[in-house]
Formats: sequence, structure tokens, C-alpha cells
Amino acid sequence: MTSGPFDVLRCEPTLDEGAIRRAYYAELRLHPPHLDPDGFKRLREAYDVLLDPQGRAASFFAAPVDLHALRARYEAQLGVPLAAARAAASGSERVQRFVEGWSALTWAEAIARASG
Amino acid sequence: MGRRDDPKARKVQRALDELDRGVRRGDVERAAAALGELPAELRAAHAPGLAARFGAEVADAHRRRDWARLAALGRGADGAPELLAGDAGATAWALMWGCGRQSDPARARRMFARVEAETAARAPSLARALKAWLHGGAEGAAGDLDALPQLAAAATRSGGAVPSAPATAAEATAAVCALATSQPWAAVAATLGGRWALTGEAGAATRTAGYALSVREHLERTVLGFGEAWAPLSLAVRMAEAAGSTEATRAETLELLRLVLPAASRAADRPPKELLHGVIRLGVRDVALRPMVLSAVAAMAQGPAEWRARAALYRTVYEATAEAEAWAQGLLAYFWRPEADHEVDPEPWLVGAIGALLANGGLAAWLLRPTPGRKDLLEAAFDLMQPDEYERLCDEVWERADDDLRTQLSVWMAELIEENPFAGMGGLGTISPAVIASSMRAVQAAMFQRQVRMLPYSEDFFRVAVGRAKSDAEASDAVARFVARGGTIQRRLMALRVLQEDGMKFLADEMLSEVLEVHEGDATALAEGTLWCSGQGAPMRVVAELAAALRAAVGDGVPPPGGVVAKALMVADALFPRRAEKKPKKPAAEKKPKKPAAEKKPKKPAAEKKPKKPAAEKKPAAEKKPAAEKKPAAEKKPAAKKPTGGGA
Repeated sequence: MTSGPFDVLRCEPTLDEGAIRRAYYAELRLHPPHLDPDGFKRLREAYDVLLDPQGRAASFFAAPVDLHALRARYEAQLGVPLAAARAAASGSERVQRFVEGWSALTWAEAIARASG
Repeated sequence: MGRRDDPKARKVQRALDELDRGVRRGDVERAAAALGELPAELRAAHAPGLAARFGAEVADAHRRRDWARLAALGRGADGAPELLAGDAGATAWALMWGCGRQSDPARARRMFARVEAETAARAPSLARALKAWLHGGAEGAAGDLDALPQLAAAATRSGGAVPSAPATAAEATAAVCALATSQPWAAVAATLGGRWALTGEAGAATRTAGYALSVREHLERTVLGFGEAWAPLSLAVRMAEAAGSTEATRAETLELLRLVLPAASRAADRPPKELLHGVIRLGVRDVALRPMVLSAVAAMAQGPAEWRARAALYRTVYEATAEAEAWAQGLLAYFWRPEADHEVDPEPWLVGAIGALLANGGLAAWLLRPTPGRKDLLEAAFDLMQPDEYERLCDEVWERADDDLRTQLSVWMAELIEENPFAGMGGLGTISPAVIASSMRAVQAAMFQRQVRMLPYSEDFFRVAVGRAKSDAEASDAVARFVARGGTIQRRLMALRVLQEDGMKFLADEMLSEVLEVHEGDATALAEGTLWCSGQGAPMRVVAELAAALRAAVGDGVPPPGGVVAKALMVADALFPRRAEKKPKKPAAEKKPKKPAAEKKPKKPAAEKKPKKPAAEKKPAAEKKPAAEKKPAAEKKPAAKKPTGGGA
């Protein structure tokens, strides 16, 4: 499996050229050309791709999004207020919502959802 | 007693017949009920043949949320539990909900028993909540219900009132969460997307919370694999759009682009077209992000069969930005369409945008950039534009074009001329309707040539323009336009050569006069002209005139050896020896000083001559022809004043 240029530079996908430069120089210390020519070549190729605005844009939009990390971020933002909103609902409404919501899921979906 | 008289045997036979009938007719419910009538050993024998169809029927009813059907199938499964023998739990789970929701808790509990152990092991809160519900209500399991994730997508409250909009920014998140926990997603989207006015600080905070809720819902559905995962992002796009300021929403825009764009190229799980276009619209709205979004769009819909999708993406970009780049790429997508679609007409937006792009110079500016596909765009635009529009575009582009683009333009114009099968046929009037109908493109080319008489930018076009000119005025107009694009002595001499070759002696003589007048005294130009003419095999009369003018310009001066003037003088001396210097027999007293070259010709003395005019001033020729401003003929020396001496 080939890794994208952001992976080679070990930085989060970004369009910020400054952040890319910083990541490059940080990695350059680990892969100096005289000690690690292959590593340096890989690093330099990735850096060149990201220095080109079109290459940077293509790499940025092609870089996979860590959906679990993103989900955790939004859960941290909305988890508490959503729980509070649920608690505010009456018991029978909660049961009705429970039945309506969970009965529509397949068993696999329900297990995944409840244990996720 | 025979079998026919045995009631049990008859009952079994009837059940077997019924089972067979149900299977043949695809009536799974009937077959399952018949299976339940059979003794255990026969059920075990016949159940495997029916179990797969039974499972599929249950799954289908569950998808349709047909609880009554599930309850009926549950009754069949209850009578013939062998139908669930190989089931991993999915069928029993669906039947449990069908029976439970159709007020058959005892049967629902039996179905639940089949999945209880694994559910309890993997999702204990869910197992406890289900058990409490199946035993008389889940209120007792409040803690477990709270521990379960909120299913906003599936939550329904028939007749439940939509909460009121938050009054302050501080209330916004709580209000959005209350909305999400009390309404189905469609109502959440409708409320945030329009029912609540998102104005002021409270509106901005509500929009932010609504965006977060939408993305969270999308992620929940994507990660856990249920529901329409893309639907919530449409609301997220609307929330980001509602923010107005692109600076404030840049992070949100980038997040949406990263979630949606990569999926657009996937064969499965592709985002809906509306969502994709909405995200692109959002992206190009931000000027800082626009080039990157355009790069991403360029990488999408690459296949030849996807040209419509590609053109549609560029239409969205054009409608959001009115930029020539999007129009040009949209037109190229149309131009490069596969052969099977060649009869397809261009979309109206492509034609409709031409006027605006010509008016604001956007199209010319695009063509002036060294962009791949420039030549194809010229060709594609020719098919779309009116002749006057196209000429205007070419004029504008030519004025500012580099050599590369001028070459491309020249090649393209040459191709247009080559393609025209009606050249020299005297215009469209002589072409039969059948021929016109058979080749609209050729007709367009013919119209183009007839109406705008070529663009005399290169020598080739000039040659055609002069050749097709119907009058001296038309030819003169072409000369003026050709010479105006440069104004060098070579360009004038090229015009002169074409005019001579076409037998337009009068205009050729005028051009020679213009050359001598405009470049009079300019030794370098005259030297270049002399060398050019002698190298091109021009008529000796012309070379002689130029040589004479060159000698006059140089006078007694000595040009630097090896320079163009010296070379030209050598050529001139070789072709036209200076005879005057070869008359040593005259007495010294009678010897006149060497005449200046100007006196040798019937030209006005230098003092009488008008000062040298810039090329623009030489163009009026109002009295001479309709295209007056383009031709200076009337102010030029009349033919009678033309030099006559020195000719070969």
C-alpha cells in the first residue's frame, strides 16, 4: 500500500504551506540525505508534491478522513447536551422513541450502534 | 384401516399439500404455517428448503417496517422453530420487533430468547432495555435507555410540537439537541433549514450547533452503517452557506469537501448529485479555496462517458463564480464528448454565457494563459459563437497573444479555410439547400469567411483575404489590417508581394510608395528590406527602389562593416552598380557634386516632405473607400508621384 505525501511527512492533511514546510524540516532531521538516501528521496518527492498548489490540493482532498476521530470530536461537543435533552424527555416518550428507533435497525446495526 | 381413513395421516397430507402449494406459489407465510402443522421429523426434513426464503421474506418485511407481516411470519416461525435453526439472529430479531409491536409479547419474548445471550454479551444496555420492554414497559430500565445512543434519524413523535427557536446564543446548542431528540431527521432538517430564522447572534450559534449536529449524524450513520448517511450533510451544507462569511466557515467548508469529494469518485456509496454540487458551490464561494476546489473538480468524472457529469460540475462552478475557467472547462467537456454523443446540442448555459465572457474579457484572458486545450477551445467556441462574436474574440486575443498562441490561432484559422468546401463559390447564394443541410459546420465556415472576410493576421490569411476581395476597397482594407499588425518593413513588403502576385498593380505600387515614405532615412529598415526582397526573389524594380532609398539614407556615411546595412549595400552594389561614379572623363569644373539619392527620384525635397507620420496617422483614407479609417491610401503619395526611376 502506498502512503500519501502527508503520511510521508507525518503531518495532518493541510493546505497550510508553512505547516508543510515545518513538517518537512522536522522529518529531514530524521532522514538526512547522507545517512538515509532512500528515506530522503521519499521525503523530498512528497514535499515537492505538496509544494505545488495543485498537488497539495489533490493530496489534501484525497487524504482519507479519520472518521472515528472526527466522530469522537463531535461527540465531545454534543454528547453532553444531547444526553441532557434525552433526560428531559418523559418516560413514555423515551420508550416510544426507543421502540421506533431500534426496531428499524437490523440486529447487526443495533449491536454495533449500542456497543459503539 | 387405510391411510385415507387415518385422520392424522390426512392432516399430515393436507399440511404437506399446503406446504407444497405455498412453496410453489412463493407464499412463504402459508408454507411456514403448513410446516408448523407437520410432525417434528417431517418439519426437520422440509424446513431447510424453506428457511432461506423465509429469512429473505422476513428481512424484506423488516426493511419495509411491515410489523403486521412480521408478526404473521413470527407465528409461522413459532410453530416451526426449525426455520430459525441456521439463523444467526437477524431473523429472530426482526420477528421479535414484529410480534412485540403487534401486541404479541409472549411470542416476541420467545424470539428475543434466541438473540438474548449474544445481545447481552455485546450490548448489555440494549439487552436490558429490550427485556424490560418485553416484560411490560421499558420505563423501569430508564438508566439503560439513557445509556443507549440517541437515534435521531429514527426518532418519531407523531403530532409532537417542534420546540421553539432559541432566543439567545447561550440557548442554541440545548435547543438544537432538544430538537434532535424529539423530531425525526426530516423535521430537524426542515426546522434548522428554514423554520427557525437563523439571524442575529442566536441564529449564528444555532447554525453552528446545527452544523455540528448534521456532521455528527452523518458520522454516526457512516461509522455504524445505518440509514442514509449522506442526508444529514445536505443540512450541514445549508448551515455553512447560511453563515455568509467565507472566512468564518472555511474550516467547515474544508471539512465538507474532504468528506464528500473523495466519495464522488467511488463506484459505491457515491454522494447524491445535489450534495456534491452544493459542496462544490460552497467551496468555490471562498476565493482562497477556489483554485484548489477547481483542481479537485478537474480530477473528478474523468471517464469519457462521464462528460455530462463533468460539464454539470463546471456549470455549478460557473454559476457560482461567473469565471471563464469554469465555462471553458465545461465547453471542453462538451467538445471532448464521445462520438456516440456527437449529435447532442450544447447546453444553453454554454451559449448564454458567451456574451458576458466576451464583455468582461474573461474568455480572452483565459485563452491568453498557456492552458492545455486552448486550441480545442478555439474550435469549440467557433461552433457556438456568431461570426462577429468570434471575430471579436480572435481580434482581442491576437492583440495580446504570445507567439505560441498566435501560431495556434493561425493554424486554426488555416484549418478553417481548408475545411471550407465552398471556397471560391461566390458565397452562400450558390449553395443548394441540400448541401447546406448536409454540412452545417461547413456552412458556418463559409459564412464566417463571407461575412468577416478572414482575419488577415498571417500572410496566409492575408493572401486568402486579398484573393477573395470583391473590390479594391476590400483588398485595401485587408492590406491595412495586415500591415497594422506589426508595421515592420518586412510586413509591408509581404503585403506588397501578395498584391503583386494577385495582379493588384495599383495597390502594389501604393504599398511600395508607403514603404519608401514610412522608412525613408531609416537605413537599418531599408537594409533589412533590401536583403529580404533580394532573398525572396522580389521583382528587381522593388529591390532597386529599396536599394536607392538605402543609398540615400546612408549618404556619405560608412556603415559598420559586417552589419546589416553594409551587407545590404554590398547586395545593392552587386545588383545595381553606381554608374555615376564610373564617369571620370568629365572635367572637374563641370563635375557636379554627388547628388543625394533623393534628388535622383522625382520625390519632394526633404524639406518639403511631410514629417514622418506614425502608422496610425497614415490610416485615414476617408475619401478613398468605406473602410476609411483603416486605409491611408488617400493621404499617401498619389500614383503619379510614385518613383519611376531605378527600376529593373
